[in-house]
Amino acid sequence: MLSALLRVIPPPAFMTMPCIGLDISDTSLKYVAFKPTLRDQEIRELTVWGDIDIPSGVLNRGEVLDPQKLVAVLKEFKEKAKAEFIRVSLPEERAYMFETDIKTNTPLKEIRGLLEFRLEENVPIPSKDVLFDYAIMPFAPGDRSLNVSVVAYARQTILSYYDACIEAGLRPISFEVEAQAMARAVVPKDNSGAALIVDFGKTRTGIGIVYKNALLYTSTIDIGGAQLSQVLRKTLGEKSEAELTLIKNTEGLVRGVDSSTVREALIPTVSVIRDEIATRMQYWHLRSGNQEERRITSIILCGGSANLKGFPEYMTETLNVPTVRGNVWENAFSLEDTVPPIDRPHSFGYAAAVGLALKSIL
Amino acid sequence: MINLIPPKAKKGVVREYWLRVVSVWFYTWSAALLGGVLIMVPAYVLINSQVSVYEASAKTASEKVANFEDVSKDLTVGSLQAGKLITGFRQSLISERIATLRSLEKPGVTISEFTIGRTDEAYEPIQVTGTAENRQALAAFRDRLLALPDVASVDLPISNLAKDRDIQFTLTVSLKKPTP
Repeated sequence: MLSALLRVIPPPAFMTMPCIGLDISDTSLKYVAFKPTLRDQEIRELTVWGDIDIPSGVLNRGEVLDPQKLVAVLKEFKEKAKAEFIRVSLPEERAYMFETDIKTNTPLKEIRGLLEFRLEENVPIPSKDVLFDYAIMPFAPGDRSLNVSVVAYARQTILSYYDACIEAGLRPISFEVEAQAMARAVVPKDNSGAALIVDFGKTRTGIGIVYKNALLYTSTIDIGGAQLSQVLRKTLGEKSEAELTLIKNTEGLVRGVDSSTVREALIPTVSVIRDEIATRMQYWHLRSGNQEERRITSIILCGGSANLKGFPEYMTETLNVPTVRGNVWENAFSLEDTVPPIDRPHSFGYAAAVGLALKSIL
Repeated sequence: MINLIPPKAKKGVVREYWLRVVSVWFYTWSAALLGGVLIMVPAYVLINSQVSVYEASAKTASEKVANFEDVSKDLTVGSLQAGKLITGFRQSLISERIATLRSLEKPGVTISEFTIGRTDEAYEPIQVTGTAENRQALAAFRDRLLALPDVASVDLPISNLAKDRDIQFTLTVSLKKPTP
């Protein structure tokens, strides 16, 4: 009834506190904003996007090393994007995630207190130094227990990002795990089974497993596109990063007619990534008790280095799970109706920012 | 949905959100009120002009009514005066009345005095004082008076008949009411 009323008379977008999705990684800051709306089903209109390089030494594996330089970058972002309210992604490397069961009849007010006790069993930080939030997984009316997904971060980690934002004159509306934001952007709403999201970045590869639209597992592999460039330099000689990126994206893992030098150079590194992913998948299936419905049915590639040629085919072939490059506009608009202003190769790097910007309500 | 901002900041965001909701409601109601006022302005102007027209009309009417009341009073007075004139016109003159009474004075009856009263409608009562030689002459005089067409009655006090001759009499003559 209420949703029908909201469809007919939508509340003004001003109420949503129009905000920009901000994905902060070790090397860059990417931002995206859609025209604000309170209607989830509406086709979204991209209004603001861009990226700013973050100097090395400011962030390392998600830890803020130089708050003042981060503030300067955020101020530059504020100036460029005319931003006030932001939704920020937090680094997966610093996240602690676990699933737990609670009784169905537990009052809502008591759930948080109950989870605080369970934090000590699952998070290696004293609970007083932890900030956490939880999501109750979809459940059937007859279920005796509820499955709850909990995400926790060290209070200091969150405060370092929060304080930097406040000092830069920005007002954070939400903080969430990067992989959760990516999942919102690239995982189709009608996806069945679990989806494994691979964020193939410049310095590291993030892995997230999403089941019923909730992020239940994250992990990080310390190999990224930069390591592939390093390997190519050893084989092909000194070249600029742009040239190496072009070689990765045009030759990549595909055997050449004349020579397979690039493929042979990249395969050992890529196979390490594949092995790490296979290990995580095995762990997930084991943890899920080999429940058929929780099996990983698709792998979605994102991140700036996901353009590596032949990478999805290689993963499909070796892991026996369909692997595709994600469509970051999957839940924003149809590519048949709208031509996005960001081209497809660059769009993979914006997955988290798009996912953050898609979150339109409190 | 998981949101990991510090609890204090979360409260601030919720407060900001509700502030915006209230602002939107406030502005919506203000706009509706303003719209309502703008819609009502033509009606207000029309009603005001109508009221002023009606006021002017009422003023004119009340002036006319005041005039009418004055005229009505004058008419009433005029009507009464006209009625009196008509009544007076219908009544015979005193001189004529005296002449008629005199004409009835035959030998044996001597009229010495007339006393004629006056009401709004007639000259009455009429008292005739005089001397009659005898009772027959007095009775005959009374009969002659009664024979007059406008005489209703003639009152002859018994005391006047105490004597047989040289009778001092005072007759009271009542006239018939004039027909309207």
